[in-house]
Amino acid sequence: MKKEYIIVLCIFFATLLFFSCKKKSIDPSYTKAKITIQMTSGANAVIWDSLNYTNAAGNKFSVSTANFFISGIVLKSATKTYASNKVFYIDAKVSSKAHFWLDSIPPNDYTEISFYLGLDKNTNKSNSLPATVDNSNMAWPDLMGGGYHFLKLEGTYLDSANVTKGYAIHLGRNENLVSAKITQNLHQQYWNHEYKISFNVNEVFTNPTIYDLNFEKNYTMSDSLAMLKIKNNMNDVFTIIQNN
Amino acid sequence: MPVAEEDVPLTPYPVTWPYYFPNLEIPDENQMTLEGINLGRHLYYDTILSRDGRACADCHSSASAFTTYTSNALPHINLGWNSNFLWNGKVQGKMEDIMLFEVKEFFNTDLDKINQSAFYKKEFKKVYKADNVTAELLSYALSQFFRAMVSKNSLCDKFILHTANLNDSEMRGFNIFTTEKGDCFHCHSLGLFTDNKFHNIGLDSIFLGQNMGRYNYTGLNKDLGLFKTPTLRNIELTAPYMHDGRYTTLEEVVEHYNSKVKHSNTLDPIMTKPSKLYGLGLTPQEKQDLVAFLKTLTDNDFINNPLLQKP
Repeated sequence: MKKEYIIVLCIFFATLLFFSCKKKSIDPSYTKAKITIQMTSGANAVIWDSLNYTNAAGNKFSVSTANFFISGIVLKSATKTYASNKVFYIDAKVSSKAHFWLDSIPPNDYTEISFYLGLDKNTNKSNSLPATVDNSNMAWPDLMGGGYHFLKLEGTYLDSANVTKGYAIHLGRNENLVSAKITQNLHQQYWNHEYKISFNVNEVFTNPTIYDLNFEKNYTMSDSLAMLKIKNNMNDVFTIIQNN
Repeated sequence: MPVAEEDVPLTPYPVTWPYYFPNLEIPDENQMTLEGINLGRHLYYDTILSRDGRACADCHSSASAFTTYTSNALPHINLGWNSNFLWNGKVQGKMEDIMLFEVKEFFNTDLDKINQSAFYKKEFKKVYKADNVTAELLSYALSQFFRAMVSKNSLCDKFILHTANLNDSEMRGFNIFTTEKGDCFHCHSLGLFTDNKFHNIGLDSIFLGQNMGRYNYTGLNKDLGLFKTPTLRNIELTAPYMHDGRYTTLEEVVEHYNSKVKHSNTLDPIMTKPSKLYGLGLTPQEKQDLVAFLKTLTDNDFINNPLLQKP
């Protein structure tokens, strides 16, 4: 009786092993990828609300809010292009809102990922996105041009008199759409491939403009020139820090 | 042959809202029915929910948009769309979660008393097919009532929907509200008129007792002086203002933003614009216009909705 029991158990586990192996060995026609955004200062993950960081202008600053839209994602290889028309809202401070999934990606050795921080002009219209609480909080008032905030980056900094002040780097309007392109082998070959993309906050304040919060606007929304400087600085904020 | 209570068909209640409201998420297991809302309404107005003779409605009167002057409690308006509750955000989640908190912790409801009530036994049997009324079922019924408390028909709503106009002063106030001039829209997002988040709006520079705000729940220095953004809907009816009721008129509230913002390390970045450090610098006329706009958020259909009145 005991022997029969062991045989039955062995068959059960062998069957289980067979099917689980079989599932893994399937070469899928399409795969999906999880993309996680991590706020960093240089090589280190940002500690939220901590006045620990120093930008290129020498301002000590903290980060308390990083809300933005990622859209227009394109993966490219020598032979294939994958494009997503989805818009993803990111709240980098909230883990459940700091990642998103791309579906139905044909497996390939992609060598480039590009995307927008913000929304293209066809989408950047008032009420064009579903009226979720998050999307509604990103609305850019009609009286100021309509559409949505592309980015809300907020925190505090120590001013020249060593007083803590706030900054609110807000980007919006079509002319300030940020294009990001990362050239790197992406190896999109497996189920549930995960990429971690760094948003290096230091880069917001430099290259080409060293953005000194004491002299530039610490509040950008109504200032076209300030937004343009930030937009131009943001071309190199994103890098891939994990690819597996 | 008489039909048993639990076999009586329930009447679905379709909640509606304008296009600029987010989707109202209603759990599958607590879909709204007229009978469920009515059961929640009875509980809302009944002292049976507490052990000390209080009812929800004692601090949340319909005439004051479901708050009262003396309690200074947050009003019950469109809470179905919220996920942070109470001034310091002590309870987070969905409506059933905050209602369970109210039943178990705030009121410490005597379930035996509810189960001894023939009326509630019958109604819970009808709505939830339950023989025994639990704290969870009480939270479900209350949640149905709260999700029916939808304010969406103010003059401002009609203006957004192009079915009514604002007068000149209200229009100027709207422009102040939705531009950098007043910068109200960042926290009081159009639609719900709250962002469902927490901010320090510069009421204090030293924080003691209840003025410590969200810190009292999280214990984190970054939360000192932060409070939940209240909705501005029906603000004309919900005096006094702020978490401690320190302002009694809308004019005083506007004056706070205009000239009385106090500095602290947790002051919201939005409050420290370079050209308007610690104040908006509005003219007397602009302040009047802003108040005029705020009054367009009064919704008489909401406060007089028969579905929400005392049974």
